[in-house]
Amino acid sequence: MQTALVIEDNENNMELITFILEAHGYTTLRAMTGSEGVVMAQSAAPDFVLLDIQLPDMDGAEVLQAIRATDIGRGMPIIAVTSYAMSGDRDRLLAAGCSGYIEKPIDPLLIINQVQGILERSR
Amino acid sequence: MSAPSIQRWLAESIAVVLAYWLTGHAVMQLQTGMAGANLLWLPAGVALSATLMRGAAALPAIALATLSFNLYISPASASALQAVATAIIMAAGSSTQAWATAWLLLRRSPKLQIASVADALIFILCAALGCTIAATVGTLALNQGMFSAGNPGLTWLTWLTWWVGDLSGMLIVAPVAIVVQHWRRGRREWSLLSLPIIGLGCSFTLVTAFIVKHIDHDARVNEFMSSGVAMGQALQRTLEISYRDLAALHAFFYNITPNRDEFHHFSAGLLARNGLIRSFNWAPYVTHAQRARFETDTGQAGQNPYRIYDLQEDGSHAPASGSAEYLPVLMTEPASANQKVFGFNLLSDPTRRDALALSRFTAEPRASGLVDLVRGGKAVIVYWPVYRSEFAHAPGAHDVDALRGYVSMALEIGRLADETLRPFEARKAETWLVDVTRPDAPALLYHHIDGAEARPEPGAIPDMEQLRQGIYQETGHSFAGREWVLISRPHGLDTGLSTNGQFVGILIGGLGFTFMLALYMIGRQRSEHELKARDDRLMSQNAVLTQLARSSLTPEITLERQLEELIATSAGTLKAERVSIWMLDESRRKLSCSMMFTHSTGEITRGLTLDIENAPNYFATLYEGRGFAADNAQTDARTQEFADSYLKPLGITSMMDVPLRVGGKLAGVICHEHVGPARKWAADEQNFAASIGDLASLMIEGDKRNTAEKALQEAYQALELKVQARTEELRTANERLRQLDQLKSMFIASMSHELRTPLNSIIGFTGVVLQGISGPLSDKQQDHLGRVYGSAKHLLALITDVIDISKIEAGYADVYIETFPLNQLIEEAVAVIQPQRLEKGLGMEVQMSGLSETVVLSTDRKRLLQCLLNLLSNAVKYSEQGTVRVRCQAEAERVMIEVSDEGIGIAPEALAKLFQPFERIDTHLRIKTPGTGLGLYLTRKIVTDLLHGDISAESEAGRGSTFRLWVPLVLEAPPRNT
Repeated sequence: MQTALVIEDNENNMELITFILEAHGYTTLRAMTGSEGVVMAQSAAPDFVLLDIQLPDMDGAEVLQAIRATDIGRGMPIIAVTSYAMSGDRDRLLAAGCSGYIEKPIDPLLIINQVQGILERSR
Repeated sequence: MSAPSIQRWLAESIAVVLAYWLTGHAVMQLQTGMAGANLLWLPAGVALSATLMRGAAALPAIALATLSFNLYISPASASALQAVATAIIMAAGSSTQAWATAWLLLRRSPKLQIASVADALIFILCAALGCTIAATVGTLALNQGMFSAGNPGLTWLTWLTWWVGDLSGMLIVAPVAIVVQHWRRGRREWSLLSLPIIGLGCSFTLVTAFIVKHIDHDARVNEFMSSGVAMGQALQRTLEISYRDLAALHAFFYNITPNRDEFHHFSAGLLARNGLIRSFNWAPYVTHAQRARFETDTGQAGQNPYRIYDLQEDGSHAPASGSAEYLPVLMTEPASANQKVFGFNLLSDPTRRDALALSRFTAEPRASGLVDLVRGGKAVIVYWPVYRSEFAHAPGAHDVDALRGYVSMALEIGRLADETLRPFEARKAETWLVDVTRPDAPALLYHHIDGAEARPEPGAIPDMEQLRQGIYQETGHSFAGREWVLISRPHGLDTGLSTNGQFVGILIGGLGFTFMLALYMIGRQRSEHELKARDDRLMSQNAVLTQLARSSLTPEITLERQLEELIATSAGTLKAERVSIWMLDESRRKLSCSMMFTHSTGEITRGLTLDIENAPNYFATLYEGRGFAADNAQTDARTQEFADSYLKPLGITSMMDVPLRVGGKLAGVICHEHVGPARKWAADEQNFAASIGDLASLMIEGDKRNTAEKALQEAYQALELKVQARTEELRTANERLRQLDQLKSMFIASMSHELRTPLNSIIGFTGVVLQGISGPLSDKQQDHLGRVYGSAKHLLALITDVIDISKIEAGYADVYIETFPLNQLIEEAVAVIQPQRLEKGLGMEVQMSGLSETVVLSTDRKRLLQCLLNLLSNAVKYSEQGTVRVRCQAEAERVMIEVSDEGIGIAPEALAKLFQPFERIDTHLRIKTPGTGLGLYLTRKIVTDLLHGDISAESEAGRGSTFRLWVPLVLEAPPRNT
C-alpha cells in the first residue's frame, strides 16, 4: 500500500483528492501549507507527493526545491497540481524537478489514471 | 611775389609778346591794311585774352609788345622822334583798350560765364565799346604823327577800319582763349561754344562788309574820276564850238567891213546855232584924229547921237576922255537889248584892255578875265583883232595902222558851264572852274554844287591847295590864251557812311546767319546735353530703383527703415531738398507727415498735418489718383493753397507729388520739394517719382501682408497647440479607458479564477458520486447528478473561454514559443478529437501537401493546438455524416491549415457574424450541440492577436464549411505587455 502526501491549502480539493486516492487504495497524508508539506515529506517519507503549486505561505517551486534538497526527497516522485493553462509554470516546475503534473480541475474519473501514469514513468 | 611766380610771370609775358608779334606779323602779311589801319587786327585779341586771364599782370607785356610792334611797322619816311612818339601813344591806347575791355567783361561776369546768345551779345558789345579807345587814339596819332593833316573823310574811314580791325581780332581770339581757360578749369560745357562761333561769325561779317564797302567806295571814286574827265571834255567841246563861231565872224570881217545889217544877219545866224554865246560885237579901231568924224559918221548912219564913252570906276558912263586911240563898240548882236553898249570904249575897262592888248600883240584871239557886262552880268569876253588884209598873214607885224578893230564874243561862263555840265549832275560833285592863267592869282569863274539850290558866289579866290586834297578830278583847258582848270570833288561821297545795299545786306545777312547758326548749334548742343543728362539720370534712377526694390525684399528691415531709405534715396537722385511721406488718417480728410527727409541736413523729422479744409484743390488732385509736377508751386493752382503757410516760409519753389495706394485706395502721398530757383521736372524725373510712389505703396502693402501672414501663422500655431492638447487629452482619456478596460478584463479574469475553484469542487465531487465510489445511486439520482455534472462542465468551459478572451483583450495573455514539427501537432489534435468523431461515425482525412510534411514551426504550440481543436470539434459538432478533412500547406513564411467538413454549413448572413462573441449558428441543431458561443471568437482572437496570423471561413449551407487559418512559421516573441 502506497502512501501519498497531498499538499493542498483548499479543504474541498484536499478532501476530493484524498477521497479518490483512498478509494483507490492509497494511504494519504495531508499538509495544508508548504512548510508543513516540506517537514512531512522528510519525516513521513511518503511514496509520492501531490503538490498544489498555489499555496498561501510558499511558492510551489520553492516547496519542490526544498523537498528535493533532502536525501529522502531527492528521488521522491512529486506530481504538481497546476492551475489551468499556465504553460510557463509548467515548464518552470518541470525544470525545478517535478515528476509530472496534473491540471486542475481535477477530474475524478481521470485522476487515478493520470497519477498512476506519472508514477510509472518516473520509476 | 615768390621766385616761382616771378618765373611764371616772366614766361607768360614772353608768351604774350611772342603771340602779339606772331599774330601781328601774320596779319600784316595778309595785306588787309586799309586807310592806314588793319581790318583784322588779331593782336588786339591777344592783348584782351592776356588781360582777361592774368589781369593787370599782363599789361607790361602788352605795352612792350604794342610799343615794339608799332615801332617795327612805322614808315621809313617818318622821323625817329615822330615814330617813337606815335608808337608810345598807340601802345598806350592799345594797352588801355585791352585793360578797359577786360574790366568791362569781368565786371559783368567775374568767371566769364558765357552760357547763352545773350551773354555772347553782351560780350560783343563790351568789346565794341572797348575798341573805340585804340581806334580813337590810333587815328589821332596817325593824323598828328606820320601824315600831315588829312582829309576828314579819310580820318573817319581810318577810325572805322581801326575799330573794325580791333573788334574782329578780339572776337576771334578772345572767345577761343576763354573757352580754353574754361576747358582747363574743367567746365566742358556746350554753352561755351556759342562765344567762338558768334565771335568768328561777327568778325568775319564785319571784315567782309567793310571790304565790300571799300571796294564799292573805290569803284565810286573811279567812276567819279572818269566822269570828271568826260565833264572836262564836254566843257572843252563847248568852248571850241564857240571859238569856231567867233572864228567865222572874224573871217567875215576878213576883207570887208560889213554894215550893221550885214553884221546882224551874219551873227544872228551864229547865235541861233549856239545859244551859249551871249553876244557878238564889233569894235573898230579909232584914233583920236578920226574920233570926231567917226562919231559924226556913225550918228548920221542911223544912231544919233553916237558918242564914244568911257566906263567910270563907279560904273557910270562919261564921254571918252582924250586918248590916242579908241575901241568903241559899233555893232552888237543881239542889238535890241544892248543899246547901252554902243560907243563904249573897250579900252576904258582895265580887264578888257589887258586882253585887248595881248590879243593885238599876238594877233590871236584872247579871252579876258571875268568882266562885268555893261548891260549887267558877268562874262568872259574873247577878242580877236582884225587887220587890213595885207597884214593878215603877217600878224607879227604890229602896226597900229593895220588894225581895223576887234570882233568879240561874250561868253556868260556861268550859264555856259551850267548848260554844259548839267548832264553830269548825278555825280554829286562840287565843281570849280578856275582861271589859273596867273598861278599866283587864280580867279574863280564858276562854282557849283550838284543838287544844291543856292549857287555859290563866284569870284571868291579859291584855295587851290585845299581843292587839290583828297579825292578830286581836274581837267585843264587852254582857251583863247587863258588857262582854266575844272576841278570837281565828290560831294557827300567819301564820308564812308552813305547807304549801300551790299554793305547792309552783308552786315545783316552775316550777323543774322551767325546768330542763327549759334542758336542752332546751342540748341543742338543743349538737346544733346539734355539727352545725355537724361540718360545719366535714367541710369542712376534705374540703379536706385533696383537697389530699393532689393532692400524692400529683405524682410529683416522694418517698413519704417525701408521708407526712410526710400525717401532719402529719392531726394538724392532727384536733387530735391525735402522728400516726405504723408499718410491719410481714418477720416481720409487729413494728411499727417509720417516722415520728412531734408537733403541738406540729412535729418528725418515728423509731425506736420494738412487738413482738407485748408487745401481742397490739393486733396481733389490727390483723389483723382494721379501725381503731379508743379514747376512753380507758389502759383500753381494745386499747391497755391498752402503757399503762404508752408511753401514761402520754407522757400519751396517747385513740387512733385505722387500718390501712395494701398489696396487700390489712396493711402497717402510722397512729396518732393525743391528749394531755390524754380525747376522744371523732366519727364524721366516724373516717371522716377511715380516709380518711387509705386515702390512705397508695394512696401506698405507688403508689410501689411507680412503682418497678416504672421497673425495667420500665429493663429494656426495656437490652433495646432489646441489640437495637440485636445489630442493629448483624448489620448489620456483613451489610455484611462484602456486601463479601465484592462482592469475590467483583469477583474473578469480573476473573478473567473475565483469562480472556477468552487466549480472544480462541484465537478470533482459530482464525478466521485457519479462513479458510485461513495455509494450506489438510483437511476433517477444517476440521471440528475449527470445533468449537474454536465452543467458544471459547461459553466467551467464558459469561464475558461471568458478568462482567455479577457486576458487577450487585457494584453495579459502569455505567449510561450516552442519549436515543434507541424505534423506532430496535427496528429495530436486528430487524436484528441477522435473519441467524439468516432462516436458520430465521421471519417477523418489528413493531407500534408508539399513541405508542410516536414515543416517546423516556432510559435505558441498550446494556443495553436487550442485553435485547431476548436475548429476540429466544430467540424465534428456540426456534421452528421461525411468526412472531416485537415489539409496543410506551407507557404513562404507561413503555413496554412484548413479544416473542412461536410456538415450543415453556414448561411451567408451568418457567415458575416461568424467570429462575433456569443454568435452561434442558428440551426435546428442548436439544442443538441454543446458550446460556449465563444469558440470562434476566441479562436480568431488567438490567431490574430497572439499568433499574428489570419483566419477565414467559407461555407455553403447544407454542404459543409471550410475554415482556414494562417500562422507565421516563426513568431517573434512579443514584448511583454505589463
